[in-house]
Amino acid sequence: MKAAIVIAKNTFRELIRDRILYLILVFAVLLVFLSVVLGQLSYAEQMRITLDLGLAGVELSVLILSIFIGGTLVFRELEKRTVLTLLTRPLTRGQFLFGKFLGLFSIIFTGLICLGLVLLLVLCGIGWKYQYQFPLILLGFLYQGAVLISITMVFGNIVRPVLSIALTIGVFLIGRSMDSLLYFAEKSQSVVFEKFAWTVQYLFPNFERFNWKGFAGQESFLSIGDLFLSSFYFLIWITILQSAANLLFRRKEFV
Amino acid sequence: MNVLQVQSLNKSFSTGFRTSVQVLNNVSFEVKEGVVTGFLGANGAGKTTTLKCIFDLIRPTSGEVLFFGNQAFDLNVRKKIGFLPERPYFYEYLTGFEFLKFYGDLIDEMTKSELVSRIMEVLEKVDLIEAKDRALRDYSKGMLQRIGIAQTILGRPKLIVLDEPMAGLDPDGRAKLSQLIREVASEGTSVFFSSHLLHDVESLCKELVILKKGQIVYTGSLDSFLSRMDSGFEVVTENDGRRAVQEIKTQAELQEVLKTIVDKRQTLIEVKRLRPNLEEAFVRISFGEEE
Repeated sequence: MKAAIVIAKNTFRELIRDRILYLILVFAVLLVFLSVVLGQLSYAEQMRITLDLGLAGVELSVLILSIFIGGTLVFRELEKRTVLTLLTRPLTRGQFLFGKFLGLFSIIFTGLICLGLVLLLVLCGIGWKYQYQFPLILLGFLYQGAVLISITMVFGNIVRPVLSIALTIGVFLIGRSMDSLLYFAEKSQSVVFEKFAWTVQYLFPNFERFNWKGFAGQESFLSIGDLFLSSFYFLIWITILQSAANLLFRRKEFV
Repeated sequence: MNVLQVQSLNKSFSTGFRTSVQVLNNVSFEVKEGVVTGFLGANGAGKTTTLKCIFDLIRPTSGEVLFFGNQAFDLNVRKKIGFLPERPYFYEYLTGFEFLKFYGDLIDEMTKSELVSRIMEVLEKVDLIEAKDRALRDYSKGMLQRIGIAQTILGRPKLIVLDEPMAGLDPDGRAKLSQLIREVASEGTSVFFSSHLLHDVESLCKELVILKKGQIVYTGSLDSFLSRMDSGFEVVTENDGRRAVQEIKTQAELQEVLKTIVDKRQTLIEVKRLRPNLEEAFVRISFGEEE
C-alpha cells in the first residue's frame, strides 16, 4: 500500500503543477459567479437558480477533471515511457494503477472542497442559509468522479485516450439516463425493451444514484439507509472497475 | 555467483491473423557478479526486447530469467536492481532532488534522514549537486542521463542494467558517464549495459554478450572474443638502416621468421599481435565472417 501512496503523492504533485487543472478550476469559479449573475436576472426563485447553476458548474468541472485528466492519466506514463523505470522498482502493476487513481481522486477531492467553499461563500454572500444537504451533494459529485476515473482507466488499457474519453462520456450519459430508461421500460409493453433495460442496469453504473442536486434547497434528503446503499453501490462499482483495469494492465506489454 | 541468468528466452510478436515474427530465439546468457558486461547487437537485433523481457515489461513466449542465483523478479529482487531504459524520460516537473526522493520512497529501505543523506551522496557522485533544485525540464541530455544513473544506484543495488546509456551524448558527456560506470563497478556493483558505441564498451567491459538477429552469437570475455579474431603477427626488422615489415599468419611461421632474423643477425624492432579492436571484430561478426 505504501508504494501506491508514493505513486498517488507524485500524481497529485504532477497534476497540481499542471496548468490544465487551474484552467478547469478557473472555469468552474467563473461558472459559480455566472450563476449569481443569472440568478439576479431572473424574476423569481433567484436563490434557487443561483444554487442550481452553481452546483451544476461544480459538477461539470468534476466531470471534466475526471474524464479528461483520467483519460490521459496512465497513457501519459506510457507515452513518455516513465512507466518503464517505475515498473522495475519494488512496485506491482496493481499498486501503480491504484496509486494513479488515488492521486487523481485526491485532486478531485481537493478541487471539490475549494469549489464547494467558493460556492458556499458566494451563496452565503447573497443571503442563503446553510443546509446539511450541501456537503452531501458534493459527496455525490465525488462518487461520480471516482467512478468516471475508474471507467477511463479501464478503457485506457484498451484504446487510445480520445476514444477512451468518448466511451467514458457515453457510459456517463447511459448512466445518467438509467432511471428514465428503467421507467420507460416498466411502462412499455415490450418485453424486449424491458429485458434490454434490465441488462443495461447491470452493465453500466447508474449515475443517478449519486445525483443528489435535486435536494438542494429542499428540507429533505435521502434517508440514512439510502445514503449507505448508494455508498455501497459506489464501492461495488469502484471495486469492479479497478479490478478490471488492474487485470488489463497486468496483461499489458510495454513494447 | 551469477547476478543474472537468462535461460532459453524466446519471444514472438503477432503480426496479424495467425502470423508472428520471432524476435528472440533461444537467448541464454549470464551476467557475473561484480563484472561490467556489455550487451552488443545491431539495430533490431533484439537487445531492448531482451532487456524488457528481463524486467517483465514484455512477457517472453518461453524461457526463464533468474536473479542472484535462483530468484524470480519479485519485489525483494527489485530492491537490489537498478534499470535505466533507452532514451529515458523523467518527470520534467520534478527537481533533481524530488525525483530521487520519489524513487527512494519506492525502494523503501531507508529512514527519511538516511534517504536524504543518500540522495545528497548520489547527487555528489553524479556531479549534479548544484542542479538539485532545478526542474528536470531544464536539464541537458547529459545531466538527464546522469540523474537516470543516480536513480539506478540510489538503493545501493547489486546489479544495474543500462540500455544505451551513451546514446546521444557528446564526447564530454560520454566520458563523464563512462567514469561514473567505472566508479559504480569499482564499488562491487555488477553492470550490464547495451551500447552501440563500441569504443566505450571496449574500455569499460570485461565480458560481452553479442546478439545477432535475436540469437546469441557470443558470450564470454572481451579478451577471448578479440583473441578469436587474431589475424597473425607483424614483425618489424631493421637491416642496414632499412626497415622491413612482415605479416605472419601462424605461430609456427613466426618461430621460423624469428629464427631467420637471429641467424642473419638482423635487428628485431617489434613483434606485434594483429588483433582487431572491438569495432572491427563486431563488424566481422555482424556481417557473418565469424560466428
